[in-house]
Amino acid sequence: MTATVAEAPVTTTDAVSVESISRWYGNVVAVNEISFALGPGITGLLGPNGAGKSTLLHMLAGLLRPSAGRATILGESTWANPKIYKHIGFVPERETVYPFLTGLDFVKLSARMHNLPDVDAAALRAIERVEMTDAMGRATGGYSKGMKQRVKIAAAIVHEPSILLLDEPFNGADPRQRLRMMDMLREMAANGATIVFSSHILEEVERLAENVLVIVSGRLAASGDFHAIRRLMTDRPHSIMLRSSDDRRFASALIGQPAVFGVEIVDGHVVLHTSDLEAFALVAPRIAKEQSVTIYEMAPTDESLESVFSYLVRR
Amino acid sequence: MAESSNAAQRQAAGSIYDLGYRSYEGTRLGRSYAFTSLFMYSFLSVWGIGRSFWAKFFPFALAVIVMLPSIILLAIAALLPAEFEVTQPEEYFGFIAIVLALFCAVAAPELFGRDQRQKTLALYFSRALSRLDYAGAKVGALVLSLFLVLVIPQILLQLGNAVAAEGLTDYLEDNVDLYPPIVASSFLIALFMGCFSLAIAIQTSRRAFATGAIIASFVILTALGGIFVETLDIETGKYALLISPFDVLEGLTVWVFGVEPFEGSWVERADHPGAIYFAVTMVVTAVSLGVILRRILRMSV
Amino acid sequence: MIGFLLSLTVRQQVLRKSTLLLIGLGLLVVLVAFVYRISDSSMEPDEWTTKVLYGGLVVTAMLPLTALMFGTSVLGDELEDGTAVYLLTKPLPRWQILLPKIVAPWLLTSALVGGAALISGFIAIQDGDTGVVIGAVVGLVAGALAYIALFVLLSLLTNHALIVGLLYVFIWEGALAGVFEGIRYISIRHYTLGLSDAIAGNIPDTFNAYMSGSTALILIAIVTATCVLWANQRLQLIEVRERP
Repeated sequence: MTATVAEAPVTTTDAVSVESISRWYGNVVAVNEISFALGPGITGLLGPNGAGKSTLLHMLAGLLRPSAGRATILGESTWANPKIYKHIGFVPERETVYPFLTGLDFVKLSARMHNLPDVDAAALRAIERVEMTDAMGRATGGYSKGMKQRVKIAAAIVHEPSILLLDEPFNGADPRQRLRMMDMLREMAANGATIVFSSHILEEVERLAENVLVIVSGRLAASGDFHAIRRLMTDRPHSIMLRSSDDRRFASALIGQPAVFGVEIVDGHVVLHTSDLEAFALVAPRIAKEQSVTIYEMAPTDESLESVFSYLVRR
Repeated sequence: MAESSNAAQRQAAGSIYDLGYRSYEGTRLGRSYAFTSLFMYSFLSVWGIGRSFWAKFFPFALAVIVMLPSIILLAIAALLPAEFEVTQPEEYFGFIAIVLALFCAVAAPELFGRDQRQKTLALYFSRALSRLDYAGAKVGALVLSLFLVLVIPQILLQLGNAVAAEGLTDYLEDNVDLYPPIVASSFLIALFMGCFSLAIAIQTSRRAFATGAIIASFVILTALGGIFVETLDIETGKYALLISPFDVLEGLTVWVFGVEPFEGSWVERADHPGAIYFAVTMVVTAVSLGVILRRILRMSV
Repeated sequence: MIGFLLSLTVRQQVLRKSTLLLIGLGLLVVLVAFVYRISDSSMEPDEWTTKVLYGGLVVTAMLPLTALMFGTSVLGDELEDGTAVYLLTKPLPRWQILLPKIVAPWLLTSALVGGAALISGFIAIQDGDTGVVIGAVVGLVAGALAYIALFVLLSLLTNHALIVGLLYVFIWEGALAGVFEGIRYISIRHYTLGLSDAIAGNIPDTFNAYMSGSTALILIAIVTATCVLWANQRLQLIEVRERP
């Protein structure tokens, strides 16, 4: 059972779409009938290791043949279609680059293979964007992991593709680099690019992705905005944290309400369980006023991507 | 918030229950068990058991090719005894030398390469197993495999000869004096080729590189030996033959069996006393083992 | 584009560790010729150069080993390391990627083996028939192309291209061809020798190939074309897995 949220309608042909795409290796199904359509903006593929995110990205990038279904970019199938790479930039997870080439040469190689009119200018632009101008004259064999990552991204954006696919792009990046990369990706998305990146790190996806696709065991477990996903999970009660001037009094009054079916006093605040968020939202201020309690803080405790995610994984 | 956490701490100050790591107080099987385990594991990995299909295919295919002549001869002996010609065991090596070299080229890189590539050496060396044991287990696994690949076809060959002869058990009994040389020559050849190949394989963690280097060494050295014998006058040239692995092993084999070298072969032309081949075999084995041990004992993990 | 990829591939291959060893091998071949030259051998230069130097060392050992090391690694290593992705995710027709991957190792093999053959040949042949040396080198260069095409194809068909290539060279071309005569029609080694014969203008069995020059040339062309076309097919459908 999946909970989907209607995405904003995409104009003309979907930038990226998959229809019932599957991939198996013998008996092992890596990707199991996934369908979605994406437009400009940043989408995060979230899932545990081995969930099929990388496989899915490789199929999107035309590097793996789908066992069933299709992956299309700008309306065209990505498999065995080299022309489509004009519009795609792919950043693989694997670290290895040609160790004997300098960073600049590597990006220029990419620019050349894209038949860009001004190879040097395009390469320099891309390198500046990833802030590798200082190190671009050194051989990539001597780069740190984060530097290699940035140079890989530069090579992938040198032809200014409208679609960028990144496989675990923040692996090995230090926090500062990560922030810079995220800024850069947001900028590109604001200019109309469709960006898809995979990660198993919740904070990254939470921070960067406007749209999340949760992949568990090869299946699409949920898609859309994660707050919206959370709210759709009506078969799971919400937990809300409350801080007030008199927790105990407030709690004992609240437990009398039909919307509330559990109250815990944890040190310093109250945690409350309700199945009906809207009803509770109406009733809580009224009760507070009746009991002469001041509410200092009220927040959902499990709308984080982490709790959504652990819920989805356990299903 | 701070007050309540202090209160919580005071309340919790009590016992800590050790629910995690448990130490083991039972019997420990010790070094010999570790050695045997590694030996068995390495032996199985030579044959690709426990790995992919192709990892099994190549060693077994090569072993089958090595055995093919003996199997065919056995079949001929059984079915068409009239066509059968007795093949002496000492001739066998010449047929199969290159195939054995290929077997080494396929097997040796696996024994050391994977541990180096996957960096599991630290795991091995932090156990009861000493570094010497590690070397011994790996070398032993390859030598045992080669020994089996050499000795089994020779046994089949004997059977073939026996089947074609008039009395099966009589033939086997008459030729009982062949058995020690069969075992000895197989063992020495296995020792030589195994240690030599492993000494090369341990130099690199890249499998393709090691494979190429091993087969190149066998082929080129053999070719060179022959060329030098052919080219130089026989008095100096004959010493050049000693760099050729296949010829050294051929010389060793005829010496162990106590027969004359084959007509027209380099070994015959070089006319060395047989014991020289044995000496060279032992020297190469010793040097190779030295290279292997030095590498392993000094390896930092 | 192709020229650019060609120089990149050549650089890539030259920087491999095995290149150094192969150069060493070439030097060894030259050394052997030297030894012959200063020795007092009973063999005539013509015979020695063809049967011993070329037939026994260069064509049977150095050529296939060099072609193997370059040919199986040019694409094979890229697919294994994961750098192939950077070539494949570009809007280039696949043959434009394949061509430099065949020409580069061929050039390197020809240079190394051909160079060694040329130098050692001239050292050894002295006042003998220099046509033998020229013939050998031409045959080598042609044979190298066929070998490389075959090995590149193998590296696209299997992860174990090197081992399969070794089996082909030493068991098929080596051991079996000696036993079964017909095999020489499916043996690049024999094509090489046959072509060398024809160019040297000598009697057909100088190189013991028993194959006419035109047959050899046609067969080399057929083998090369088949392998290249098949490799192109495979490259168009090549899949790059996410993890090895």
